[in-house]
Amino acid sequence: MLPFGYTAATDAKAASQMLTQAPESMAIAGGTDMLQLLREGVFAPSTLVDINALPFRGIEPDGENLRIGALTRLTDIADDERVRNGFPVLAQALDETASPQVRNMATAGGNLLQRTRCLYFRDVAVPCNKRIPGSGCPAWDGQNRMNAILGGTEHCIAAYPGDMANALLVVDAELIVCGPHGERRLPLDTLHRQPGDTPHLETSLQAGELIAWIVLPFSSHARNSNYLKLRDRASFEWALASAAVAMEIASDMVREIRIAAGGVATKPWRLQDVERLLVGRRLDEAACKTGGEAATRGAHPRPGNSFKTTLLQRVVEHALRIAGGLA
Amino acid sequence: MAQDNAPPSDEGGKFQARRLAEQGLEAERAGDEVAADRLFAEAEKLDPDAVADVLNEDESVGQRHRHRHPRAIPLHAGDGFRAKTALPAAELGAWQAKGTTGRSRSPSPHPTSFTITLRVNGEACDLTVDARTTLLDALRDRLHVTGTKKGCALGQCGSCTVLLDGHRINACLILAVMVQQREIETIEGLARDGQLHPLQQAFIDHDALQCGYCTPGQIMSGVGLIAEGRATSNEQIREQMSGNICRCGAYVNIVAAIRQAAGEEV
Repeated sequence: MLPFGYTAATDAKAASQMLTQAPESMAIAGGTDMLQLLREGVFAPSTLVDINALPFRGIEPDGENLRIGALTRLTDIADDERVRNGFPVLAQALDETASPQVRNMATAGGNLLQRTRCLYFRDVAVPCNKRIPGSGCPAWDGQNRMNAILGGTEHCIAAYPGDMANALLVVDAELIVCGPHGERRLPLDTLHRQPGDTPHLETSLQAGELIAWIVLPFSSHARNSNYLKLRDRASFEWALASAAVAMEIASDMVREIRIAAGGVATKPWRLQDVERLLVGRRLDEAACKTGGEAATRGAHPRPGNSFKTTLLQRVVEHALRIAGGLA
Repeated sequence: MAQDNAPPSDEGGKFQARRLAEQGLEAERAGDEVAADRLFAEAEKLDPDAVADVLNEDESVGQRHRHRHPRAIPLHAGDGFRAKTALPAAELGAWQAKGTTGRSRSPSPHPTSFTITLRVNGEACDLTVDARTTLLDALRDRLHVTGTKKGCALGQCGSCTVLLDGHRINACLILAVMVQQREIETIEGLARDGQLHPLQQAFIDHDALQCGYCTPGQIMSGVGLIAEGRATSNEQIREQMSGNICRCGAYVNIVAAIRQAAGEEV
């Protein structure tokens, strides 16, 4: 770990200023992703700005919405009754995220901003376009079992590893972001970028911007939502493939539906084609199967991860069954 | 390369080289790069192949030395590797691109060393630490409270589990400078007036360990779990102890010990 300076910010404006002014500075909150990447030499900031004292903490009602502070610990979100009842997909995704120790430390904002990764991103002895733009992508022809089958380019096929963002996508979450030029709102779907030919740019946040709040609108489909995660081990493991589904059924028909997939794509991946296929239909066994098949449209597996196509199909199919009360 | 012409080494030299290289990795884990460099240099003089073996066996640390060592293979770089260099040099304005390796670094305008107070098992301890020092290293190497163990140092094994303001956390994933004036409880703080904590006693009663290295972490995690009220069934305990690995495989007895202690607390 290379030496770095440390400072704790006491308000958001000061934090933004420090992050823009101090060269190569980075924010630290829970630190669970940061400390690993520092130790492995993937990150070498000159300054860490501790943002834990900023007032973006807690869960509070806000009109028709629930607001979650970006510094709220994952455990506290997963245990919140309003979250468990109003947004079960989020509670389930968090219950299956990392380990209890990590959930006690990690923050909501930090979880959304954890780095999209693969073996090569974390090994500083090999090239990686995400770490060093233009250096190459060893995963394309190398060990790519864990990598993405959707949204990749020959420059990068790292899979977005998180769970919470997929859940937030299907409940129409918005972010309140604050930065040097004040506050702005952005839909969660626009936070993460596809790699294209700039895989080192993972989000649409600008220099000095911090996530302050996550805003969740209460809705019928959010209340009937679930998260299904498939992994190599029973617990404490990234998803090989996961599905988040939020669905409102009225008069036996799908009235509103949102589906997102995790572990298979380069960013939290909304499956709007599948949604369009199912809305207005009766959700029977055949519809779940159709939905699962459609989820894999446009998938481009590499030799090591073609099994993820089948996994994605089945995890979406089964999450639909659960949402429709068929399983 | 020089190593290719090195004389064949005897078994004793190989053993000694391995030992030095392993100590080098240990030093690097502890953040002491000077000591690591010295140990690796000594090891390479004895047997470069043995050093390469040690580096290749290690997937989590030693990247720096693997990079430098001619016989160490990069982690999982497949045979089919081909670099793609056609990437346009994009503007590196966004926060993520900053502070990654491979770029020049400017000195920080902020301090790199701090005199702090840690509250460990109810006692205030003053110490001066580098900003890089994790809570785990501060406890073990600076305060010599060595009950908390260092396993992976990446938050994956749980052997460094302690309670921070009553909640179980990985001491390897937080900087000492970030936990000033907060209550830290380690395995040393569990016994009261010479009486073991009920979970410590339950680990003895159920023989819930073999080598014992993971045990302090298992017990602190179990204490946190019981306090959370989640130790309600064997299945729940197994899921909720997923952050603690026991390579001896004492899991069945660990679950039984936690059930016993949870019953006593209820």
